[in-house]
Amino acid sequence: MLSINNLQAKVEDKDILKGLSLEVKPGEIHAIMGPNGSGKSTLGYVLSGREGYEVTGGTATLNGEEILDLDADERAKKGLFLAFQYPVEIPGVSNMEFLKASVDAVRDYQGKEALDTVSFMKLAREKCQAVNLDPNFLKRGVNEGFSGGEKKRNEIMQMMLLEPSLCILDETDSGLDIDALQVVANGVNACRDEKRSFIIVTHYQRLLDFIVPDKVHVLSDGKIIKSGGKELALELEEKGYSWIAKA
Amino acid sequence: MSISLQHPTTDSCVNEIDKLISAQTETPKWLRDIQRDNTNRFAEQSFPTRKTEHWKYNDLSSLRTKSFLPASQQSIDSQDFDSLLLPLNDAIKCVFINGIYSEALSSTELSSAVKVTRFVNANERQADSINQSLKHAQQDRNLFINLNSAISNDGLLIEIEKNIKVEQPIYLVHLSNSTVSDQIATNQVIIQAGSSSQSQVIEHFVSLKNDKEHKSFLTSQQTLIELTSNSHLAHHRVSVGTQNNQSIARVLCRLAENANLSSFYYSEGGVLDKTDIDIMHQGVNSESNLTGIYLPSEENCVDFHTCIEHQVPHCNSRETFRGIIADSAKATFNGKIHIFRDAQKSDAQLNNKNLLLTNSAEINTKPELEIYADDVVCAHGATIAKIDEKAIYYLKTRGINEMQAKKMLSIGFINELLLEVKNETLKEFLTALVQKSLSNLR
Amino acid sequence: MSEVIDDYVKTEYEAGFITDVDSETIAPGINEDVIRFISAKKKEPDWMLEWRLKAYRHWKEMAEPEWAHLDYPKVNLDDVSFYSAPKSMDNAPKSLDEVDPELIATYNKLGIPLHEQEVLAGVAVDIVFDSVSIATTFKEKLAEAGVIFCPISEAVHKHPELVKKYLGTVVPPKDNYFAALNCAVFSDGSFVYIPKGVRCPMELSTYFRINEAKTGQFERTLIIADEDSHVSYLEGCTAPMRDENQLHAAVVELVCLDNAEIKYSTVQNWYPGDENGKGGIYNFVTKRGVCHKNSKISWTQVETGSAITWKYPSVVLRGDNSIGEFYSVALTRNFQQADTGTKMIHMGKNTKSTIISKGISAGKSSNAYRGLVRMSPRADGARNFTQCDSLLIGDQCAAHTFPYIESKHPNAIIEHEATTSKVSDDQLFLCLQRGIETEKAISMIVNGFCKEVFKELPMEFAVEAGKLLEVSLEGSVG
Repeated sequence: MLSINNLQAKVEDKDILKGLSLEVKPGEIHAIMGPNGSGKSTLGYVLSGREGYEVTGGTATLNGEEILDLDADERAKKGLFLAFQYPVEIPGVSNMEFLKASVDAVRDYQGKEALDTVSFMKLAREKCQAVNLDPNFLKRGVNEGFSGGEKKRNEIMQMMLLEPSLCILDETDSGLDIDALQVVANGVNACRDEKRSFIIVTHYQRLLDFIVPDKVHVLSDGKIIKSGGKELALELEEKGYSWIAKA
Repeated sequence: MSISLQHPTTDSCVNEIDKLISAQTETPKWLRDIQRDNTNRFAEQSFPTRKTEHWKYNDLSSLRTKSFLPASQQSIDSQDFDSLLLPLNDAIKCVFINGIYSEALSSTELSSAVKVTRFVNANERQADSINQSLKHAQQDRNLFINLNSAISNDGLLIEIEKNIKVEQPIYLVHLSNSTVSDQIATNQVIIQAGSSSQSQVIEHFVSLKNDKEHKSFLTSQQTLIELTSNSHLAHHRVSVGTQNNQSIARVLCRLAENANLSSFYYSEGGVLDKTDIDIMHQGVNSESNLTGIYLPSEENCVDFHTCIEHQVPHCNSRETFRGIIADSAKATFNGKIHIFRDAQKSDAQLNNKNLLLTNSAEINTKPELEIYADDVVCAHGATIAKIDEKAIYYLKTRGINEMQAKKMLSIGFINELLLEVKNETLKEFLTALVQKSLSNLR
Repeated sequence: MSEVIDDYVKTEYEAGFITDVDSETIAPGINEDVIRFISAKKKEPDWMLEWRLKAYRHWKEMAEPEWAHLDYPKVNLDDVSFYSAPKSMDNAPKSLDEVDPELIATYNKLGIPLHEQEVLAGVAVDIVFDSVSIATTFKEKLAEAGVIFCPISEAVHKHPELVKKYLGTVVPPKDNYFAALNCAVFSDGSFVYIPKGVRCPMELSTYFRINEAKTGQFERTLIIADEDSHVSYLEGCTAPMRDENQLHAAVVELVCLDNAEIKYSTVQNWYPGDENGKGGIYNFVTKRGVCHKNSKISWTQVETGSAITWKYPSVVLRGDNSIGEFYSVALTRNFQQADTGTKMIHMGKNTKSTIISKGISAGKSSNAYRGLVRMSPRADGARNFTQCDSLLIGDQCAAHTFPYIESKHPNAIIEHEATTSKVSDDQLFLCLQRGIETEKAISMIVNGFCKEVFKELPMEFAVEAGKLLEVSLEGSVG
């Protein structure tokens, strides 16, 4: 599915990723944890092709295909989805219009026929219900005036709609209360199947109670310094990160 | 040696000013050079008319017909004087009568953290610094400001020591006492806040009763405020009881990096009361908060022209002006936000609200945005309205009569801004004053 | 991402071709003889000539205004030809069949097929090519309803009483420098009269085209909506790509009598100059309407063209309960400069006005909103709401807002709001990450920004305006 080999990247002349390697197989869920500034969000941005994040070395392939030279929209069309830590507001552009354009673009790339408006509306409403969002949100501007929790649920809703093959969740759980966390987790679990993979970037072990990961990695200073199973997350919660850094 | 404003560009007018400057024998040379420079600038301009954008809503024609003599300092009864002052007992007090510094009425014992120097007594370093400030200030061509610096052969430099919190407010009293018509009083003050200092300034404009008969008494005042790195200054400028004056003033504030200015204005207007306020964000991460209240009544005029310049990135400015215009009064507000090309991440907000009380009152407002950088958040809003009828009705249903309701709502409208006054004594004084002036609403 | 934005703003002007027709163009320069020539060419009655000459004499005393936030070399009027017409128009064609096929082809190319238009769209069109009106469609059908829709030069002959009564009453010859010039040398334009109680059966439209080099276009439009009538009028403009700056100084007057309604929509796409700021039309236009009792004037404009735009469609709300509206989208890119807005003069009681202005600046352009809302001492109960928003695309452009707000009545309520924002990298990245290409994303954001204005345009125009904006912005973003 996703194969990252010795990935290095910098932002504004500062090296952030310093040789990161990671192998994610179809159907797996990988959690990435680590202290602030370790490069967790950068990994998501570099994989999804954000401008300003310069790859200085290493490779990343999605389903066997090198992706680091592709434009962000090309990567999205190939099935890479990033749920943002801070989803941005786009006033004036309705959620519906935005989602239709997005789904059309992805379907067009996959050689599927565009959905007609009626079927699209039906689908979008279903997905809204799945993440407990009032379908009226579809008529509002993208993320405009949404609460923090609504924005995050909106991200998950989009993920369900686009049916990507690799989902990167960048601190989607930050700032959510337990109920909202449950909704997000249910969304992720509903999408889970043997072909779809997830990278879940998080600060908190509690999310992993709801979404059980196959592997947990610790990212520090731009590298993965320790990998393990779910129990590693518990250990991190208890002891913090310093014990690994020292070891 | 009177100065006629009729033809400012003519040689005779320039000669008059020249003669005046030559007669001021005690002026140090560096200051005299500034005077001459400003005389030339003054002479290059034409007298503003209603077609001059900056003066669009001011009728200055009466000034044109007059010749003005420089005002002299008058001796005054100290009891009369004390009754006009705010009860700021511990303040560092500097008093000007008709623009001229009065040693006798000013504080003699100054705090070690504040140095007060007359321009004429400035040492070399201070002279340099005054020179620079005035040079900077005279750049934008304003006829009256140039005239001010041309005539003034003195001024006051106030230096606030760095790394110190000055507990006592610095209290500047500008008293006008016109016993003769057709005089012009000029004054200039420079306030320099040292780096990481924290201080409070109150500028108080008052006048003695006998001004009433002398409506052609013109005052021209400028205050230059310089906030060096990381300094915090709370500035207040209040004119009370100066309704019979014609006043043209300008306040120029320059902020270095991380500096913080809070500036508050209160005016009841006058025959003419025009204040130009410029706030220049010249250092990154500087912040300004400008608040103003105007309550003109009878036939008074009040005019605020403000300009907030974001010259560098990451600065934050807030501006709120509110006015209630009664009787046949006239108010003009012009608020400009100017974001320079490189001033990315600027955050500027401006708001102006007005209540117009009668058919003969007039308000002209013009909130302007001039933006050359793209990554900025800017917004302005302006409203002109009467007191909300729904609110009046609500109060009436609670048994409050209409007059009372209007009064309460008007006071509420203004009181919100009085919260911005940083000096408690001044806040109390203004709260009472607003109560009083709005209680005779019609 | 700014490279993407840059590319996006640099698209070709699609209406920039030149029509090869044999034209009669008078020698450049202006004097009384030129005015006499134009008047004679149109076989005008003496009163019309006198009116022109009077305006010319006023104009000579006036100076070009400098208050606008515009920076451009002044046009040397000695280099401008004040009259140009295709020779084939010398003997005015009686019907479309007699119009020079070269001209018909021009309009086909611009997407205005004159013949099909007649059959399909149900829109009557008056076509102004350089200084003359070359065709007006649907004249007969309109005449059945009593509606007069013809070139103004024809109205001077056929309806002198109406022209005499209303011409120059809304925009007097002394109004301003460009209006005075127009009064002296105006060549053609449209004339509309809707009789009492008539709802005009179809949309009326004028299409202006400047073709000849070194000419100015000075059209004049006069629309009179008599009591209880209703009309919707559209105007469109294009010009070829030329290196020199060409002058366009039009005057539009709207007279809206009691209970009448005029809806005036403009899609202005004059040649804006090339990406280095060379060439382009100088567009100095005076548009104003007067509302009588209970009447309504609504201006909608989409301004994407011209090197310089100086234009303030205004409404004088003279009658009680009258309504004025102004909806505007102004887009500037490359080196374009626009200083545009409106004036709402509230004179009557309970008059209402709404101003929605959306300015979009890209490239190195400058876009200013300038507006006046004035409440007179009689404007009891009057209301205004103004919203003007600016959207910046790229870091080399500028956006300005200069609203003048004046009130002399305590019962008048004015609300003004303005914001400035940008198309941010974050927004574009979010769209990209969802598979939406940058150009599509920008067009969605810009259309969203302009939505409130587009919904005011007549259906056929709204689509066209959206497309025009898309084309104009293509390749402009980052």
